[in-house]
Amino acid sequence: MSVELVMPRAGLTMVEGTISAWTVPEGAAVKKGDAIMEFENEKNTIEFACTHDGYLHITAQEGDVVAVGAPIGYVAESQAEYQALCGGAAPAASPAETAPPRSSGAAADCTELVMPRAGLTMVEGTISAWTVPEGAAVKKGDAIMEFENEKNTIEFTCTHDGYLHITAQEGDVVAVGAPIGYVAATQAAYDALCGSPDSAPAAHPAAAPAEVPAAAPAESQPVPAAAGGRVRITGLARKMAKQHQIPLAALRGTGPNGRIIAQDVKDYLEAAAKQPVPVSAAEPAPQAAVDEVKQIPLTGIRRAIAKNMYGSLQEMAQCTAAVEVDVTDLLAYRQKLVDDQDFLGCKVTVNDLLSMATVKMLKKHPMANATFDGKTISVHSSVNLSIAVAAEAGLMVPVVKGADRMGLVELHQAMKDLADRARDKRLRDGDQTGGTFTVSNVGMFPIDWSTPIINPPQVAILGFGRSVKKMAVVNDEPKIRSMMNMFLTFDHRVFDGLEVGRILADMKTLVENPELITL
Amino acid sequence: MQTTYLQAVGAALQEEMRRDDKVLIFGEDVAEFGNIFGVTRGMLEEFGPQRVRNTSISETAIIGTALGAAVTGLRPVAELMYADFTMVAFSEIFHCVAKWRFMHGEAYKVPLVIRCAMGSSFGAGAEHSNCVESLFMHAPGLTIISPTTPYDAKGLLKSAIRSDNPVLFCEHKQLYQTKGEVPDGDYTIPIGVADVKRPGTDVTVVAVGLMVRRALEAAELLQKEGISVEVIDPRTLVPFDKETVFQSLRKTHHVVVAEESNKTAGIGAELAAMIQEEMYDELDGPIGRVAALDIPIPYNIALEKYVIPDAGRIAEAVRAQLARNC
Amino acid sequence: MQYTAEFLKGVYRDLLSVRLFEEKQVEIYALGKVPGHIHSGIGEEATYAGVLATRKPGDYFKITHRPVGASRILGTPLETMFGELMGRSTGNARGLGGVLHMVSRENGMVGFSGTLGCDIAVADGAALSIQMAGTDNVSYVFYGDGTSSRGPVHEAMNLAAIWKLPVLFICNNNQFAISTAASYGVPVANPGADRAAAYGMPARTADATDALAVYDAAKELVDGIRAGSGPAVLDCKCYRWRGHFEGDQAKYRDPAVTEEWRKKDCVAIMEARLQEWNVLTAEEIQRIRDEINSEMDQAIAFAEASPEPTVEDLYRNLYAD
Repeated sequence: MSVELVMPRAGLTMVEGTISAWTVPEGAAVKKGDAIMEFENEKNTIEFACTHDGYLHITAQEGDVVAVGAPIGYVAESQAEYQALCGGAAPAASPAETAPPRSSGAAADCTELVMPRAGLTMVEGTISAWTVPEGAAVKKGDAIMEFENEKNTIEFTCTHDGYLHITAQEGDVVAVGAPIGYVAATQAAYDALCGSPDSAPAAHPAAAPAEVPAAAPAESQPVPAAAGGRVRITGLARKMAKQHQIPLAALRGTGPNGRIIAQDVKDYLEAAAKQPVPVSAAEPAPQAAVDEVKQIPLTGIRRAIAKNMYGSLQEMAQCTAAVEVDVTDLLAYRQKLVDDQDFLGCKVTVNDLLSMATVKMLKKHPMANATFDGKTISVHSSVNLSIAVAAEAGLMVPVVKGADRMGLVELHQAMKDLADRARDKRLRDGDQTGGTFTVSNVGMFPIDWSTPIINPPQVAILGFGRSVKKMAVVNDEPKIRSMMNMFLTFDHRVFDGLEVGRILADMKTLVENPELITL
Repeated sequence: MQTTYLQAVGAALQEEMRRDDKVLIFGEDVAEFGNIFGVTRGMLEEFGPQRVRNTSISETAIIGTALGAAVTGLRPVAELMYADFTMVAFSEIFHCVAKWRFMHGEAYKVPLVIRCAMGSSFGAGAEHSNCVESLFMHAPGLTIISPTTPYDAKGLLKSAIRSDNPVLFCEHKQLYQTKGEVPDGDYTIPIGVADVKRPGTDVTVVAVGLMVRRALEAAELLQKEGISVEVIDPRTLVPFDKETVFQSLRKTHHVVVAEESNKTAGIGAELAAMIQEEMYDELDGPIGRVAALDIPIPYNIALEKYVIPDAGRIAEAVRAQLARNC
Repeated sequence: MQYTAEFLKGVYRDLLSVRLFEEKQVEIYALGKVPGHIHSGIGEEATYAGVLATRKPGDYFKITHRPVGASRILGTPLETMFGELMGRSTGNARGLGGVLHMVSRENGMVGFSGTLGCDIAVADGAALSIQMAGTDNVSYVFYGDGTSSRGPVHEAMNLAAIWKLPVLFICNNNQFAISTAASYGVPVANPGADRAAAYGMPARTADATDALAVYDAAKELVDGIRAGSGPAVLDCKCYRWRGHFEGDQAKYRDPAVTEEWRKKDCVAIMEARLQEWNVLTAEEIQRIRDEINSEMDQAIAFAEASPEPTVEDLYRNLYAD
């Protein structure tokens, strides 16, 4: 008989252990109590004492992270059993992954159209517009619809000739591979298709249930008739107003801070009782301006941004640190480069210099030029600098690949090209992937600092605020200097304040000594 | 019969000791000296040195001994002299006494009472003037009683001694010499039942300990201004009689909590949070809190009076409840 | 031979019960079957087996966090112990108290606390009950060398001494307070006995690798207490074989010293002596071991099959009705 060895629980807080080393080889004869392996928990390196006598078969290897109670190997009672254990390999091969046969099902005269996958990360698309009407005669290759994925607006080209029946409407979010409509080969087939009550082609009896049409937004709910702003009202007064169906806007608050209190409701009722026309439930009370609510479904790029930003904050231990730096010299240096623009062939921006400084810094701090998947930190030798671009359609983050191999002019050109295309929705697949670190410059706005959100799987993002002239102390003298904040959000799971301190110190040195940036 | 609060506490002890020979009292200076305030005077003579015992100055041992005695069948009443000294045995009370039955199971009963004298007055200074109820409201497993009249003190102490659960019984030093009507003979007051000390219609004041008296004075003042105040004395802080407070609130829609301990994280903080959670729609304004300033109690008597709320401060808080910006 | 064979067999069985319980505890903890943390008392069993051999009905007991298996000597059913240890509803506190509270009130156990030292005076209280009842019973209170420096221990000793309470204070000196050696943390050689004079209490020291030596010393003190002479202190010196908690590698101490102490195994010493005295044969010893182990395996299976406590259980014991 063989006995399973499991990762032991060694301490209150231990939930998993990492195998540091097996101190005896595979197949070795072992005894109960022998130290045969060393593992690390969150605090210590600990010896694993064998629990039985026999021959060791190792299943979890050095470096493996194993949950407490999960197997790490076996002790076979005899040599023969050990052989059987090793020969048998993994117990009972897992059932072959055979996909269930999928009936093509498509009737000869009807073809389903589905949301296409357009890009590596696309899982769903939002229908922006159908460019041909329901029932139109369409041809294979015609652009008949536009949809948005998380990055771009894309044309959908028809896959067959025939008559179009639309099932997914504008604004609908449809999963990749899910139906958006049908092309009927003939007018008769089209009529049959539309005639059937459930709109699904008769030839598709066993097809997956048609996507439930997204529920039409409910009739806009009556909202409290308080035009603009919050109503200050006590719990009791609100309850009373509701009981008497008095719109809150009709009440005058006489409590502290203008709060509506119970007495105000009583006063209102008393006054109303004296009015010639009594207030009744049937006749609505004096109406305040009705607040109109426009409902905007979360689609496409907005949806992708929402998901990424929320996911980022959910999954990481984000922390932001900031430093104020003196950019007087940087601005002067930039002006000098602008004066030399004919020679350089381009007009260098402050952002170019800050990005260049960031690249310099990252070469010195590779832990920040990294990605983290929750298990392994991947430190990248090449700097692929993601630049946050505020486009009207939403935030775009194109990537300057190999930024560390570029000179200032080259970097300027690469960044300008990407930013222009991002604003014009002309980014290509791959333009926004592979980044190792992000810079976000909000200095064009009156923003001094923010707490930027990390672009996963990256581990940090550096932001730059606006530069402002301020009184600063230079050599114990008050001087007017241009000051700017830099703020670094980092994933505290990956590195700590010590590293952040050093990063910001180096950035400060670079920015305050701009000649170092282009050195 | 008119009796002082101090005599009422003593009478409860005496009657319970006569009724049940498992009841015994021990603590610092409770025997010959009869407790520093005179609560247990004469008891050594009546019950003898086995049942009325002085201890060494050993608060942790007093509490631990009471726990062991209770678990093995006695009904000890342990005295800690000043309520401030509960801190010296905080772990024994918080970890051991309060949790003992929870940690060891239903075979364990902890019928013990910890008596202590609490509260400000007389310039006793920062270490001999504290009210401690709010600190122990954080210890599930304890019962906390804070009586304010001779009648309540006697009836509740008897219930505490007869309870199978550990009770922290907080007697107010400033109340010891106050008088009130106490009937002759045996009676008890159920634990966990609040008392409406004065009925009213405009604002509810939930007052604890000495503040009950101050709230009654405030109510008298406000009556002249046409404001009718209902004063509720919870008497028992744990378990807390919510329903009496809620009933009052359904009538007045305004509530002020008055206590003698520090405002931050005090009884008022807890009650205000609880009331707004459960009774939001009955409130016609924010809950008022009157409490001691967040400062140690000063030795100087004028400043001590300033730190502890008086009737005027309670009245102010009540007026603020009804204020309008017309 | 001054002991009867029955007596020796009883002491041995107690000793072995604690040893095997402590080993089993380590085993199932490693398998993730036990919440929280445990503190193995392997190597320290003789203190309990020796002292508790002096007990009689009506006595009270306050044990400590190491070895919790001592609860077995006092008669706590294994099902209750493993139920509590594994956090199940069949434990004495329905799995809500845990490893530091495996007790049985019906066997005189007054409970014990994980806040070491805060529970010492609980034994004074039990002794007060004895004194009030006027019997010759004893309240036994166990604590360790680490706890011996806590104030509440001294307050409890002081009060027991002035009230002449029938308490036996037993300091189980396993020489370590987590990583701090008693030689550093305690200014005297015997953390219990050397401090007894401060309270005018008689004291003895005992070699706690030998259950019978412990018994002899305890007997002398207990006889005095039962005769009404007031509290006393027994100091039992042994050695903590494992770390403070599971996962503590005890790298702060010299493994050679540990090895030396492991050679002075109180169970092996007792077994050798019983065979030499023809009280038990090797086969009988093996049979007793198998018997205890099998009882424990059954109790573990019972606990594992027991339901988890419910939310209702959570509130059930907070207050008595």
